[in-house]
Amino acid sequence: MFNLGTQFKIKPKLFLLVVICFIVLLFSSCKSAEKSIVGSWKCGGDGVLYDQYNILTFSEDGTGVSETIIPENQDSEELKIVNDIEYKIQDDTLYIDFISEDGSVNSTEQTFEIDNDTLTLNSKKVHNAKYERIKHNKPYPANNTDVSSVLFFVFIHILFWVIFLKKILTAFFGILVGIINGTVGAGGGLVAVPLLKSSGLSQKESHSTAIAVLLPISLMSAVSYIYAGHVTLADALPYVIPSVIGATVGTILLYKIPTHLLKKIFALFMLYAGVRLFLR
Amino acid sequence: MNIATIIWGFLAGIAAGMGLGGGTVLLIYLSLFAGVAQLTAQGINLIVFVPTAAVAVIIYAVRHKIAWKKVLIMAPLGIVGSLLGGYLLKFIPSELLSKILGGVLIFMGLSRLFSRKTCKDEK
Repeated sequence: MFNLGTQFKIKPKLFLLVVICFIVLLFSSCKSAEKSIVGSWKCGGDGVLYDQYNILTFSEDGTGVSETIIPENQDSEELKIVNDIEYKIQDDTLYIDFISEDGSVNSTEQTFEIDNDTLTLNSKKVHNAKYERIKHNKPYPANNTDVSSVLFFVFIHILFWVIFLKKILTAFFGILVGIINGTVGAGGGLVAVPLLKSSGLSQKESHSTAIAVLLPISLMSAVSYIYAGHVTLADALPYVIPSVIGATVGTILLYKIPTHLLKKIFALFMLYAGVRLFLR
Repeated sequence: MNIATIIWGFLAGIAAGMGLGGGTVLLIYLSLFAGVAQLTAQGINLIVFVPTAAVAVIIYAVRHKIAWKKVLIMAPLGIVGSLLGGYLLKFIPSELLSKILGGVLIFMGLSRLFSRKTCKDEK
């Protein structure tokens, strides 16, 4: 169950376990992000074929751009060929469709391997084409949809809930006390007493503390009822004096007599009234 | 001020002082037997509860029976809730309100009827 306020403690072993899980997940999610093909990759530019190089950019939605650039040389000016691409990954095979400006499609199929920042492509035509990840020009964020990233996200949420659940529940029930007391005009104790009891108070202490909790809440509600014109102070006046006298008697009685039987009798009365009100 | 008023007011006070859900006694009398309009009955109940609870709190405080730390945490939250409740009232029709009260009473009655006596009670 949940506790109120200061009694919250973290078990050291559990805490250690949580920290270890956190580190493992953090590590695995970072690694998996590096394994994603999403991003820009550069191949060539190493002196072979007039410093020609190719940049492949893969975005998350299965599309991308292929740029083949031949820098200015003694035979011609700089040449740049840009193709839109569509790609698909199945196991370790990468299918890329190069779409030309005139709409013709050139489909390719190659196996691929990603090792940190190196992408190796192997097809029937080209063997071991090495692409380097262009870090400073990463147009797309790392792929976050893989399993370990989701796990990491879920883990953070669970951690949050484990740490704050008790406080959130306490706050929720505290507010519920006010809502019930405000709309029904009574019955805040229905929530307040069990809540206090679960925080470690005895039955009778819970009752006496619940009254202290309900006092400012009822005062606030009463003021809002008067302000809204549902009731006037004069309406309530005849009941105040007998009630105050009764409270004095009841307060003294609470710690003197066993309330168990009285509670049951009173519960029957409530049930009777509840059913009549409900059926009205 | 007639005799029924005095008796029910007194009973409500006893029940409230004993933490038996006393807030409901006067409300039941007013809405079920005295024929007061639902919202007025609730308002009277809340107003009467304030001095009644104040007396009980003073007596309990003198006897150190109140965990003030918990009060400090819960009361502000409850006040927020009561403001929310007051706002909700604008949208709840009176007939529905008495049904809600009936539901709350049935729930309270049942939970008390079947609650077991725990060892904490003996403290």
